[in-house]
Amino acid sequence: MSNVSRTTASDTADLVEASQAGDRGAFDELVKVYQRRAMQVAVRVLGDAEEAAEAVQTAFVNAYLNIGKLREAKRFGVWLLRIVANAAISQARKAKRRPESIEIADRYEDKTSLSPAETESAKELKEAIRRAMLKLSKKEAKAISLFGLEDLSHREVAEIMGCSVEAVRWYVFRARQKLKVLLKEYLQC
Amino acid sequence: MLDGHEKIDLLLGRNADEQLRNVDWNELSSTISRRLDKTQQTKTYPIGLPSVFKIAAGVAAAAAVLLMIVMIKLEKSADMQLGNRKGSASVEIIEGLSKSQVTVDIAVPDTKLAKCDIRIIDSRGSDKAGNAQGAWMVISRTEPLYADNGVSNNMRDVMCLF
Repeated sequence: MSNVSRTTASDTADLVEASQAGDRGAFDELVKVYQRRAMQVAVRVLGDAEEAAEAVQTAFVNAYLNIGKLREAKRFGVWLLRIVANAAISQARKAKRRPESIEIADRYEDKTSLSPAETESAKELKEAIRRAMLKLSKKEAKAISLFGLEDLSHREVAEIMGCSVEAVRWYVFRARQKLKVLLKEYLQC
Repeated sequence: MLDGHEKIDLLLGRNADEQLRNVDWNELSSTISRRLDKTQQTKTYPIGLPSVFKIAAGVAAAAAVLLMIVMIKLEKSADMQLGNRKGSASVEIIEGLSKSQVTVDIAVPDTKLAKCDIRIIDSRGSDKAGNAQGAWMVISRTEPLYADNGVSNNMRDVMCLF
């Protein structure tokens, strides 16, 4: 389970208020609490941990610069995940235009402890997901990435995306339909 | 039996878990912290300094524009006086004196009179070869009262006079 569940809403609110008052240490605590959740979202959008880490860093910097604008401290989680999802999608679009993105992925893959065959298979799957996600619209990519997260309700996903629960369901449905076609060879196994 | 949608969710979940398996969380939070440090520094200094420069540049630009407007107006005003307003001049010749007076009205709303001392040399006679000669007029004071806008005073005197 992530650190988020161990941190109560009031703890988060206190840390957010302290950060808003200029306490940098409090913001560092928020980073530690929310970095796993942020990575889960970013990795689902980007399909790759290294790219996801880059997007998460950017998202936290943006959150730090704009934390003064957050009115309800207890809604920090929802607010942050919106920033993370946007940063990840933006990163995915950039990576699409950048030919070396595959090299970055390969470099990261060297660290894994899988057997060569498993590594190859995992690498292939990762690349396939990355390419498939780029074929989705921004909203579809965001919806399917957030929808799969544990302990995130449909209402929260809708809040993060800034649309209705029905709209989220529709985007998720569309995303699954497209991914079913794009990733069909991986669905056989 | 899983349907296609569930399989997609599982596939995405499997890849995400696989990717997150080797993430060094301490390293990630340290990297974020370092980036925040850099952001804090740029937020404190370089953002502050350029705003001072921006304000200074704005003030300088506004002053330059104001100066240009004033210069254009002055130039126009001088052109108006010379080009659009006709003046008049009268010459009073007092018999028996070598000096006479000229009164110049340059037709500005606040009319100013300028006075020049002139001397008329009567050369209506003939030269040695018997050819007629023109009369000469000499303006002996060349800085009349109204000539105060930087335009050539002598030139304007003559323009007004003729």
